[in-house]
Amino acid sequence: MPEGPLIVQSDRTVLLEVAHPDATTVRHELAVFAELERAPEHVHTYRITRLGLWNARAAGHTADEVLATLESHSKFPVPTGVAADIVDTMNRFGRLTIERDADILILRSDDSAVLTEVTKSAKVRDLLVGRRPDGSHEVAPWARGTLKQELVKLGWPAEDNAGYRPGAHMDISLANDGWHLRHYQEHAIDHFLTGGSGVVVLPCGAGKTLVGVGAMARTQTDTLILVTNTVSARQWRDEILKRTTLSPDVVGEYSGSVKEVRPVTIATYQILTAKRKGEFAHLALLDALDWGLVIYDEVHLLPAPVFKLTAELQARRRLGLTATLIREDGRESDVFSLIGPKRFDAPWKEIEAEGYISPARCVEIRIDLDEDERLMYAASSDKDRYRLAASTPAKLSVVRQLISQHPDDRILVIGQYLDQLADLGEALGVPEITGATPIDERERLFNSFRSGEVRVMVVSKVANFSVDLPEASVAIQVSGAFGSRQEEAQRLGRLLRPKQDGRSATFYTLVARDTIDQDYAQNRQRFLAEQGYSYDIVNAGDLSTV
Amino acid sequence: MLAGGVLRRVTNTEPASLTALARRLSSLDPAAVAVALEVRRPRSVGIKDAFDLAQELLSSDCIDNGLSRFTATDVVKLASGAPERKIVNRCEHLLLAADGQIFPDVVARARYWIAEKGIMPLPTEVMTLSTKEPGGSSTRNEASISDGLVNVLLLNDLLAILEENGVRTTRTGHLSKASLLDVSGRLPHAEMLPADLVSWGLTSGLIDDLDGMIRPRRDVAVKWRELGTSDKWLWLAKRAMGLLSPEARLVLASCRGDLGLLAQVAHATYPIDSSWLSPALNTVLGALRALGLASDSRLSLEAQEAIDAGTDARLASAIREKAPTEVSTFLVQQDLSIVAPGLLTADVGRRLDTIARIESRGLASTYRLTVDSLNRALDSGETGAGITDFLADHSLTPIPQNVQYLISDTADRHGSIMLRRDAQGTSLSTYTPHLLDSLLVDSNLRALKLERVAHTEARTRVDADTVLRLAEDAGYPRPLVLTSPTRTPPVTTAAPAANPWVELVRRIQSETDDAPRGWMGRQLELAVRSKQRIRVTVAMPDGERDFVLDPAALANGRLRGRDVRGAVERTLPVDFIIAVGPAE
Repeated sequence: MPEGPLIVQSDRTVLLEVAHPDATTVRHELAVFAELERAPEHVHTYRITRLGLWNARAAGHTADEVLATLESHSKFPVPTGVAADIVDTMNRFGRLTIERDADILILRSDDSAVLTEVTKSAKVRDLLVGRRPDGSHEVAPWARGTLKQELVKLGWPAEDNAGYRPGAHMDISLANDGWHLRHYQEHAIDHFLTGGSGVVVLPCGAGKTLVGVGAMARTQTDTLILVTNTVSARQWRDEILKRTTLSPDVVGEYSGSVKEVRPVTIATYQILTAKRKGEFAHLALLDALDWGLVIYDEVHLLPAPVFKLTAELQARRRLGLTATLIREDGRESDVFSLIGPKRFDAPWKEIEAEGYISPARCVEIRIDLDEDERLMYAASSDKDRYRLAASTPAKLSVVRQLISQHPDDRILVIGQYLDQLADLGEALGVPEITGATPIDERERLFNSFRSGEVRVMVVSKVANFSVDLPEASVAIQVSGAFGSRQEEAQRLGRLLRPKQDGRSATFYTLVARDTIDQDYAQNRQRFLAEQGYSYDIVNAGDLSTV
Repeated sequence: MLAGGVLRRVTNTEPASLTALARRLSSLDPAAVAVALEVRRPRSVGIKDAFDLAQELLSSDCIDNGLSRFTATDVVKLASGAPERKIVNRCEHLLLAADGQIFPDVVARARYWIAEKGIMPLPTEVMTLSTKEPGGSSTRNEASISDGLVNVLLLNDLLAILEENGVRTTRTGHLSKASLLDVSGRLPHAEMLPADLVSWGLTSGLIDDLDGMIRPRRDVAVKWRELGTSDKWLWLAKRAMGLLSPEARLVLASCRGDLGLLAQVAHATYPIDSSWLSPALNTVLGALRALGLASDSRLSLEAQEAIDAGTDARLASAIREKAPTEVSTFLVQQDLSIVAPGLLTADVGRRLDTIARIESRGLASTYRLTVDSLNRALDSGETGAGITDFLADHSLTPIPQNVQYLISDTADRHGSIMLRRDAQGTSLSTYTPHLLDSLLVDSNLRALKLERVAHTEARTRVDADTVLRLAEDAGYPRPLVLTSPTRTPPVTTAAPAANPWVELVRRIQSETDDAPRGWMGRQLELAVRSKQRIRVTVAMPDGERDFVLDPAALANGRLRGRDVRGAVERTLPVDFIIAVGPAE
């Protein structure tokens, strides 16, 4: 048995010893079929899942290859149950195929038993419009995505060979004026294009937008980009114009305020899901041009109605981008079925070690409630407790002290509750950005922050995503959306763009001790801890030692 | 079910056999008789004395049950009427013979089966039906000792759970659904089902099912848990092999590792009936599969060799060759996980089990430190400093700051709320009055109706377990319960289960001892029924006299029969008869 860096456990986890000389090579092989679950400092945990194995099968890998990887790098024998399961699971993929016969989609299988089994499902039958003499089934034209979703649920994922519409041709190249795509961005684009459609997972600040831009340059086709909000839409537009040869007249914004349909159109999720008289009012956008590529920014936030729309966009090539493929609604398998498998993933700490994102220190500061607050907290109902604990006035003095300890940093104070943020903004005498702040005002304040005119800003969850503030090096989180792991990661992500002067980032979380705030904080920190970020824990009274 | 038929047929038993067997049943050690009865399976209903039991044992079904234990070759020899001594001895053990003579009814049944099934002697005792080589191929889906070691660790985890709390069984001796859910929830993910783990623990003698509760056996389980993983495995492997009867061993050996042939080989070897082998074989094969010594279809090479040789030496060398070296080091990580990248030594493993919650069990183990796991460790007598020192001593890397903080913070707060049980409910005390203030106004603790009785003390009528649970749920430090709950110790000592067959034999033997007149009466009854000429000795006023009679009736305390010598009818009071025997 080789002394490899892997240990395969019977619960389908795979432990990778990071310090092993073969760890890097093995990690790349492992990423083909296993999901990185945790990446702390010494031993990374991967999980062999059905989706992961089907991803691998979709990419052309066989069960024998997967087993060979595990067996050749494992310290101990691969558990027999795991080996058998890998073979069984991978053999399920592709027993059903979705093909195209002229304009008709066909569900086909060489194994009539499998076809019979899946067509017994009423949900699948509803998506089929007729049976052909050769035993295959014709699929409703709109049902390609939904059918794939249902087949995954039944454990028989279909290989989608129906191809993509190439889309209208668009001349676009990268503007190679002193910059180039980083190696992992190139890899991500390669993996995406080889796979057809799918998701790229990269840490915040690692340049996901450029992966999208690079994919556009390679596909040379009209592109629809869906983003979380208008500020993000404008950042995308700026980045596209800066990084490509496209001129402003071919890049349009389709949002609440502007409705431009151009060969590259950037639309918000919100506008796409807006309804008028019970109907989606802007669905026409989807067919307005012959899109050859649809990019979903922050795909973990994709609203449920957009899933439905995506099911009907199956003929277009789709690219999902995210830093945290954690959906708080548990709909990861829908992302797999409708956007596509995960095509590329890189541990945060690895990107950090290469200097592409800024190193960050995370500190949890425990604050004691005073006796009156403690009594009030105890007497409160469960639903009021988090708000009470998270917005304790005791946090203000800690925020003040932290700001004073970082005289040369640009600092974001991030929170959940508007009254708490208003109090903080007023007490600190700094500007505040919330959902109520007009877009132009937001952009002005963000620009002031970028230029250094404003050093400290209080921001609500509007700054959680897709806001590019490369100069921010300190974040003080005073409250959050309960135990949301992805929010914690996204907030840290605001700090991860490398700084001009090479300084590292510091992310503080203020937590009321012995309250639900502390419990939520632990849950929030799980994702980042699993990515290798360490949280030092400090009592508020010992702050000067930080 | 016997192949011979459903109905229990009673042969026209020879009185000599019946009497001889009844005598034997009256004099043998009950435990030895019970072993034979286990095989012969007589109906126990309506058996009043040795004669009833003897008669039952000489029924054709009971004889067939005994004969089913003989190989085809032995059945043929037995039917010849003059088998070798070894077979006669075996018959005696199984109560198919007495005084060196196989009962004629037994010989008759053997002949019947030979005619019925065309039984032929086996060419050799160890057959070679399988053309395949013994197991042990390294191809996938075959048995793996590594899998077995993981199962051993899981069994160890199960014992730890049962030590803490036994689990309830249903009336039929199975785990209740609730118990299964409880055990499943506390065990790490396993290929082996919790119910199978429990069965394995029971058959290997590590746990007992007593009074509807499954608990570890104190005398065995405690020592077993102190062994290293490889030694635990070897102990279990020896136990499994020890469960193999000679007959089951013969069949397994004959399969040459191919378990697909098992039924066929068993039937060919024991042609009268081989179904009796199934439970024992299933138990042993279940254990061998759990140990990674058999897959569904094949025995491993090591198991095959151990069975062939009839010794455990091969198992010991197999585990030495294949088990990874045990380690006493691990990695403590910032995400509060602890990874032991190999099999842990027993002492380090046990301590980690106490301190941290197991997350994944395999040849490596991963644990997670939580407030709850640390509190439990502190409850069991650990200290914050002790835990930190232990981790520092065994960790390959420095202990992360947040881990140290978690341990010291939990230890500092441990015991800040204390509970004391008493007859009226629970007394609760806190380190500080402020903490008690919070508890008193806490909306989640209203149901406790706490009443302050001192600056830092309150009382409730609610029991301490409920107070502890509610306080924990409400986010307070886990209270320390100062008096242990009174509950049955979870670990049992071995108590031999009552054997119903031994009880039966004891009963009929005492019947015979206490009522020699009854014994005599049964002999006379038998003689009358079978019209067997007998010699009786009668105590007369002028002394003892012998009569040779052809008995005709037994009624109203008198034996009536024709005196062979005097050619007269005699009626003798049974009370005067002091001995009965066959006429010469």
